[in-house]
Amino acid sequence: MYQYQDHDKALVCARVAEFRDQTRRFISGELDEESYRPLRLLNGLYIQRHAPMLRVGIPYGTLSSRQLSQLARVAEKYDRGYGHFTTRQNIQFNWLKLEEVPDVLEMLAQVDLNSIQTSGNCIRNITTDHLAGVASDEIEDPRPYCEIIRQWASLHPEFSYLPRKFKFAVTASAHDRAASQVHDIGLHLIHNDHGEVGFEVLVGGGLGRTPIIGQLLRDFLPQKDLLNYLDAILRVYNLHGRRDNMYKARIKILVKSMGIDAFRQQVETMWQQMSRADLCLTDKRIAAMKQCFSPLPPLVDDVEFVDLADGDDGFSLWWRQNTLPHKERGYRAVFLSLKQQGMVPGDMTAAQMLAVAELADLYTGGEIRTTHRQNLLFPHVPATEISALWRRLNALGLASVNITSINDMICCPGLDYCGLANAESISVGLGIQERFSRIEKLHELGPIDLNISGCMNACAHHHVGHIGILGVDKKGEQYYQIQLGGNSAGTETTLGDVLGPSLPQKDVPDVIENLVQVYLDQRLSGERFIEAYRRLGLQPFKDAIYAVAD
Amino acid sequence: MPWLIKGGGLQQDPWQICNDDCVDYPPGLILISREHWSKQLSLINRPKTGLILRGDDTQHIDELMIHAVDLIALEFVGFKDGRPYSLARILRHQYAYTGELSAIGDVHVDQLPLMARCGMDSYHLRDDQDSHLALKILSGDTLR
Repeated sequence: MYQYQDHDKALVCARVAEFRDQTRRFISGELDEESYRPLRLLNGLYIQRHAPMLRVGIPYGTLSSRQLSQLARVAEKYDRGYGHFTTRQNIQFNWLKLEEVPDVLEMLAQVDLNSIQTSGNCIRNITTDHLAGVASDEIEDPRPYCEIIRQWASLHPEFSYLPRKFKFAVTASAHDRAASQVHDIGLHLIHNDHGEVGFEVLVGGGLGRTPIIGQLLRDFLPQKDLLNYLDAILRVYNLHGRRDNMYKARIKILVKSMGIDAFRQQVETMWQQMSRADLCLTDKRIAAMKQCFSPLPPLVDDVEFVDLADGDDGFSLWWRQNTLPHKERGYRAVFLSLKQQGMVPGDMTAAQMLAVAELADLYTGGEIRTTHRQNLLFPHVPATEISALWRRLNALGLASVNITSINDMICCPGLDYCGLANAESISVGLGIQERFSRIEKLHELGPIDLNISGCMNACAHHHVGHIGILGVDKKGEQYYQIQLGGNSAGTETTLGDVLGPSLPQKDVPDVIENLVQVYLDQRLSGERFIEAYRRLGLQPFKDAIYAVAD
Repeated sequence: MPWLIKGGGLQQDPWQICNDDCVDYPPGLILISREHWSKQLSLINRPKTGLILRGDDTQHIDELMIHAVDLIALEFVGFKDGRPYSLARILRHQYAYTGELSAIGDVHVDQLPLMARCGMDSYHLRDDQDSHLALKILSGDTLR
């Protein structure tokens, strides 16, 4: 993975010193709340329901064991002994003290971590496929480009006060695992007809109050032009995005109101007029960055586990559900499920973090990934070591056999923590999880993406869950709207259809169970939930829930 | 006379802002809006005239205007409105403007480093801002 150079370290340390000074001035009253707010947001610090929340960036979801250990120490020393992994591959601490945040940032800087631009109206963490460098269907590892974009975007002086936040996702496979079509910019690494590598550029995707799927801006952008082209897109957005209404300020609204053709015209003109030689990516720079993410040597000692993992024993079930093949011979990728029964989805204790960091050194070369669905992944585990690793993960409560199942839910912090939420998410998620506690049941259901957001800001991407749940406030009561048929993985991104009127919290687990039963009753052989929904449409599901009430 | 931050120091601000309805220009350095400039073509040959540009002026700037003035002041109508940063980049790069580029309006000390990196080189702080702190921030003193 990329190692911070001296200039990266200097930049982060300067930022910590700057924020320490700003926070000191705020606490002493020299700086008012209105002026401090965007400064703290640029450093990932929110003031939440109970305490300040700090979001720490994990660029493109790649984390070293050393960094994870340090996150554990932060959780122990400054928080309540745990952290929460997010859909954008970051980690959040929920119980910090404002005056201690500069110390936390200093501790993070020691291991090349920071919270720069994890909130605020700026370019946020660049996310990517958690299987980058692992998946056999990728053109090449997308992370060198993510790192190049990260360096360009970090403390970008022109784009630190955009009309609204700005999110990138980069993928290199036809099968999307980074929800790239619902990002402000989605970049797809592709080959053109001449075999050259470049990018398909999507723009204007996003969820929140106005969910929109990104549109094609450019079908092929040569690699060398990447930064100049991004610069042009951001400049057009910075100058023309709406600033009078924060709910209409995202780039998706600008693109929609201008029309994609007029927007493209503006970007292309800006690109021609403003391209800078220093932003042009040379082959040498790309090659040097690729060196930081060099592929693994194939293992000669290749063991095929097909026979071994064919049984109904715990290991075999886990192996089939929670591990994936690797593009290099002899390795497998292993998910660490953060959806243990009864635990907050995406949460991890400091003790687990420390233990996982140690396991990462032993089993995956010290490299850990965070995933869009709020789990961790060991990307490069020698196949021969898998059963030993399974025993260790089991002991830590990180081997729940539920990856890709309905219990592998995305869940926002909801009303338990978040100042924006209308309703709880965690309790709803746990209530559903309880209904599907049997492995056999999960296995029977197959893959179902369940996404639960506590408000329309859609942090848990409920619009693109096969089953999406949205918490709403109905005269002070917590109600939940159900959506079906959303999808952000694979090749076809779709927004879910609203099932009907929202339902009280106590009914949600029953409703989900009934919806799933419709699928079980009507599915064709081998048909997944999302496929069955696309064939059947909303009606049979709607009938199963509302016919009774009517 | 208010203070201007320029060249790493504080100096008295020699520029006077003239409102759009002004017809009787004071002697010395004056700052006028783009609309004012477009209506009062006689100003083109007046020495010591500076132009105020706002975020929504982007579509209306032209080569003649840029190179006829002695200073361009980019106005922050609100400190969270980041359009002047892009305007600065466009003036410096696309129009090759090499004259003084000033920040006026809702100018906060904590944003000066961003302004400097986008090509602005003098700053009229908002009234309540601490100019000595501004100098420290610009020189990197608060980072040590």
